[in-house]
Amino acid sequence: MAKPTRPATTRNRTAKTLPPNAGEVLMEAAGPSQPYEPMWMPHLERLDLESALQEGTAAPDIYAEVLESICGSTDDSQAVEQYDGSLGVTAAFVASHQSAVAQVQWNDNLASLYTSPGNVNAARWGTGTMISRNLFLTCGHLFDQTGGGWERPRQNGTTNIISPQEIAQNMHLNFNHQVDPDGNLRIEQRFAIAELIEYRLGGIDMAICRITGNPGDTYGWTPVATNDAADNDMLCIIGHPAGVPKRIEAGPTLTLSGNLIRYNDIDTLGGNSGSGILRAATGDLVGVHTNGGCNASGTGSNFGQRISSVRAVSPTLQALDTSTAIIRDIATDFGRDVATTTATRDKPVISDIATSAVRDVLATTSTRDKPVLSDIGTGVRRDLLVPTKPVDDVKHAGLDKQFDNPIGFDPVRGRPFVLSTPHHAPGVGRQETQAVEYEEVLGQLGAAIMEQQRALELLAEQYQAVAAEYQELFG
Amino acid sequence: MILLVTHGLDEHGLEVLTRLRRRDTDPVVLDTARFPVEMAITVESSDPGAWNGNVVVEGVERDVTDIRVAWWRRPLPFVLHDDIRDEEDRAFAYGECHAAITGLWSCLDALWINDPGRDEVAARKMYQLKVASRIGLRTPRTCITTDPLAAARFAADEGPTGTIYKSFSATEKAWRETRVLRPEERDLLDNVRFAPVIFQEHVPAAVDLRITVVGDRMFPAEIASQETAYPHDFRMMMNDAPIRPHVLPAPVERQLRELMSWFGLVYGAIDMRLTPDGDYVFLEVNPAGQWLFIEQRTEQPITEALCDLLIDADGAGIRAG
Repeated sequence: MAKPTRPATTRNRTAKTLPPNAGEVLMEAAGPSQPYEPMWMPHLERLDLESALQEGTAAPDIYAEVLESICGSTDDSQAVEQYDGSLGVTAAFVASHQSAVAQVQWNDNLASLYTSPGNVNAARWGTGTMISRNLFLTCGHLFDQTGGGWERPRQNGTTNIISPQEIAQNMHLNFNHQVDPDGNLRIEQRFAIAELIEYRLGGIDMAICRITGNPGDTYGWTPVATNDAADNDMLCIIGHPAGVPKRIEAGPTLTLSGNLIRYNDIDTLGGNSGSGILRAATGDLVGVHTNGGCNASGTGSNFGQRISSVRAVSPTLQALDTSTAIIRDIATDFGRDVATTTATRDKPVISDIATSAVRDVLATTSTRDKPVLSDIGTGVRRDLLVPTKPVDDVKHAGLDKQFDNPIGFDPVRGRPFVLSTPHHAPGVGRQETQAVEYEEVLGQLGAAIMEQQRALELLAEQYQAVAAEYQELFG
Repeated sequence: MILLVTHGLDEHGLEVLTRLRRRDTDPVVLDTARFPVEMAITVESSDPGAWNGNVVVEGVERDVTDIRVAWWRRPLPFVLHDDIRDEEDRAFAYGECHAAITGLWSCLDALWINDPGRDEVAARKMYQLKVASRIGLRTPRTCITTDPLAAARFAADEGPTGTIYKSFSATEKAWRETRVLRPEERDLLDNVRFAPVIFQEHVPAAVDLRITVVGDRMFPAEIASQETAYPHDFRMMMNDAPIRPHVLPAPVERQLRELMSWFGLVYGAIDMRLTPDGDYVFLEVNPAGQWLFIEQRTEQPITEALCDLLIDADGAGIRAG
């Protein structure tokens, strides 16, 4: 049921306890609130609130104050386990979806690893959602090297900020960072981020991480929708605004445009970034929350990346398709779950499994347009001839790497003369060039193996699920 | 105050920075690739004559008003905010960045090593040859062309001693050593219409010379490229070729100083060839060329000379101010 729109004038404003300029301090710290400025963790340390926030019990009230001071709006989010069902989704919905939501936090050992650790040590940074046993979907900007007025660690001995991959590997997930129904902070459970496997693909503010320890086995995961939400669909965002213990907010879809899904009436803050946008009617994930449109005057809408756009750029989500499709089909047909997807599917289960699902699986692992896979045996060698290292457009006499052309003359006409003739120097740089070639091939093969392993795991899970159903139904 | 325009992966820049710090100076290091995303620049002008500028990197503000010497080492292209998506907007933003930064360079009351504008002009290879020739240095016969017929004619005229060819620029991706034109490559000369090529007389070498000029000081070194497996381009066999200090004849030294002065260069890495007949042939000058590979092999104190120059110029500027 849709939550009525709440005009700002009817909101109950709580007494201010923050310094009068707190909003300005935070806004300044979080950067200008432009339409495409992603939402960053506010600098709570400048308000000396962080310790209070982490205490848990004081969190809701302080969070409300922070939100008000930044967004000019009152907070009506609720702690997930204290949710009273009044925001537009049921308490049961929240109970069944909150556990797969985890907080992203910087590790607290940065100073021991980096001589320039920046100011993000142990910062509670964002939110995301488990989408399989070990895969975690969030937004890309959590792993950006700049933004939000925060200083990330720098590679020792250089002034370069560590890479997005290294940033991810210096973070972990917190599950259960939330208060129980009595308001007592639960003990959170940490899982390390093993690897950033997709990051801002196609310019979409998205990321997928592989998590060690399969937290999905304990905390579950949320299916990723195959279609977008429609205007006015009720949405639910569960996350860690400003880093506080897990909260839930809900409101209707405003509109979808470009790669974005927009919603108003959902109060969010930095720290919510990366939260899954859940569709109330189906419980699946229809977007990744990325941007807060809130500003000092309380206008503007929040938005995220719509799922069709994220899916379009993500081989991982595409590979997950078949798994969720089969399970959803089985679940739907046998009435074990909410009947949410039947409208769009009318094939019998068995034919789904036997034909389209299997075909999809095969398509996923064989014909899908994945550069890594399609390159093996065909494009790899060709690609090797084109070094992809960053270009320093200045001559380094005697110090440059040389790239030999092992096939001699390039048969393709239309190249500048100097590039269309082969290297003459005998064997110079060949070893180095070959090493680069080998490393590149090994890297591509490694990635391909990992990708195939993921696909195999999914197939095995599907097999187990279908076999279990078979056992149950036919003995 | 000393300014170094370079980036964190520039080995030569880091070496100079380290030595300068050891000598109790605190240079401002400015990496243009960090502008405007990670670096903010403010230049203010109010009353006549009043001017000041500052840069903020990593939250640290440095006043650049008092820069007295600036080293134009490895400026990288600006990197714009990803938020700007439209290509035209990006082009506009880039142009604005360029206009502001070049304005800042010009405002600095500093000795430049080298002045960015002069650096650019001096890097023009055809112009180098013209100036060197006018000064009296021997230069190779050269034909820079996009005309396949002109290229073929030049190669034919050079005859059996051979023609070498090379490119103007070298990127890591499109790197080619200087090469002698092979008979079978003449069939590809039609491709010069796609991009101009430098064809030159093949100058026989006793040794190759690299003369590193740092202000008034000159560090000539000879590279025994002919003792290596690829005698046409000493860069290909750097580790094999013996490198020794060399003594230039006074007239050649004078001509090289005149060349530097003509181009207004304070620093330059000059490539020459000494022929078996004892002729010194000027090939090119690189206004921001590398020197560590020479210093490491010859023990010529080039880095120290650069640091001396920077520190002296800085001190002279302060006294003058």
